[in-house]
Amino acid sequence: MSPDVFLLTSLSLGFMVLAAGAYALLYGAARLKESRGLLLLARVAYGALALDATGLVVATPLALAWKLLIAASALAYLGIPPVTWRYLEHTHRHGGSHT
Amino acid sequence: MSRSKDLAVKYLAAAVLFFGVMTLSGLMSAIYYINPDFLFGLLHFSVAKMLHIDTMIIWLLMGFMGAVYWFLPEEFGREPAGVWAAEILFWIFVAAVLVVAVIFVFVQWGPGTDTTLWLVQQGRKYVEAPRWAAIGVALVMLVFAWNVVGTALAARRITGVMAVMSVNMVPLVLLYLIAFPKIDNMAVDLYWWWWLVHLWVEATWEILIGCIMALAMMKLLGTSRQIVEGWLYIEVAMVLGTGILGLGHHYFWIGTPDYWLGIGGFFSALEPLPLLGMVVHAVYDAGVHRMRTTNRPAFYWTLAEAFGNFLGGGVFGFMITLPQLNLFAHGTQWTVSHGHFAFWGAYACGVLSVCYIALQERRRLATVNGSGWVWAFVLLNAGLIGMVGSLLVAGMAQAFFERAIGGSTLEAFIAGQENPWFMLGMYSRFGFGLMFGAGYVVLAFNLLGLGQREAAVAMKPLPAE
Repeated sequence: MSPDVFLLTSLSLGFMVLAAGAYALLYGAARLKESRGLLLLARVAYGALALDATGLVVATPLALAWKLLIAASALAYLGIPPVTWRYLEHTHRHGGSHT
Repeated sequence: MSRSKDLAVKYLAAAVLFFGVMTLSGLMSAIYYINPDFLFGLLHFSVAKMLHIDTMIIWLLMGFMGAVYWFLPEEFGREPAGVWAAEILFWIFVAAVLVVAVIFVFVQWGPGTDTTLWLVQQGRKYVEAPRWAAIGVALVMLVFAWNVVGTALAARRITGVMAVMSVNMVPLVLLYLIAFPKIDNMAVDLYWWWWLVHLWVEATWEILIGCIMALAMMKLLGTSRQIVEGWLYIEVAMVLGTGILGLGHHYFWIGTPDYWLGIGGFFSALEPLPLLGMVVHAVYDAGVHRMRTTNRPAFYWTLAEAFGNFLGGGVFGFMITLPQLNLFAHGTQWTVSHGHFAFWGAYACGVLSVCYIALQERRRLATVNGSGWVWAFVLLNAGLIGMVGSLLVAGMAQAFFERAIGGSTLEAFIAGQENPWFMLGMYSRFGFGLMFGAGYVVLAFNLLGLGQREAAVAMKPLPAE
């Protein structure tokens, strides 16, 4: 791995998780405010994540196992915010709400 | 006020005091990087760094203990079993920490003999405290476990949160015993030593702070027990599922078998997943309550915990966790950057949140607000983010110039240390460290003066416990 590619790969991995955070934050805000605009922004954040993950899989010299892990993680990041949100709504509905 | 809550306030006060020592010794450590002659012949860099790291462990541990002693009587409706022993040990604990700090500053090191091991220091990072003090810490942990488990047994009832906490006491005590063996083979020594450091920090401490934050959320937002316990079980399962074998990322390049590269990389890469769930949960709670609470500082520190943990542990960790990249970044300031951010987010913010929760009740305040905590919150967080950003730049310069280009030779190491990007990072880290230090001073004054200077309305006296 060349020095330039090493640095770029590390930054891309950090960006991937950062974009996942932005997606989660915007998704939550969109659901709270029932805002289509925020939901669109959340999708843009996830799009950036997916693009970044694609770049990591296609263009970096990481081993195949790590590339598969990155692809699987990218898919998991897509599902975590909606699943968590549904779980939170469910528990707040059935588990007694805030006092 | 119950005896347990009195003890809790003492522990939290001691935690904030040692937080200050950690900040000061951290600032001193930062100066050595920009002026290597600093305190030449008086105080070696390694001693300042040792003080910085060890007081970080101590203040967080004291903060956790303070939080647990605060919530215990509420959970069980009675004083903790053996509270008298905990009260005595508190003073012994504080005195021992101060004596060890004095030994570190004035004696610093000794020959490689048993006398040094028992009276000066053990020489193992994070657990340098001399053997007599290490035995003291083990005793404190043992009594702490007795307080938690014994109270549940005496009360003949248990809550979900306290059940998780009680089970967690077993590894919390047992793992600390790894501080004692004297192993000659360095690879073997490091192998077991990481059990203590990693499994304390990324397993037992994670569960402990998870339990504490669950209790804090019930107190702070009135969230129902069923909800916080359901979430706690999921968090514990995910943190343990990814965190235990995430231990492998510390086994890179220390003489362990190659398979640890795969195990460590895989499980570490999964660690951001539960953190993302916590971000969603934080957004949900903030939204449901529309940021309204009677204790704004505690609430904001709780939010900072969720986001700080995600950024520090998740984003900064994922950059360097895959073995192919860790080969270059391991042990550089890049790792230091990740460590600072992760500890701050995962633990420090949670302890500070509990400090405000405890003070609200202790000083009978209907609301906690004002400008003091805002200044402390902004200065501490901006200072911390500035520091970790600076360390990130310095660490990237090290990994790029010293490791990837220079091939990790001694010459490359020196060139890396003199690199303008590295030096920029070091100067900038010190500058933001000063900002963080200012934030600490404001925080300390705010905590001391809370209820006197803030616009707070006196509550009716609470019923005696």
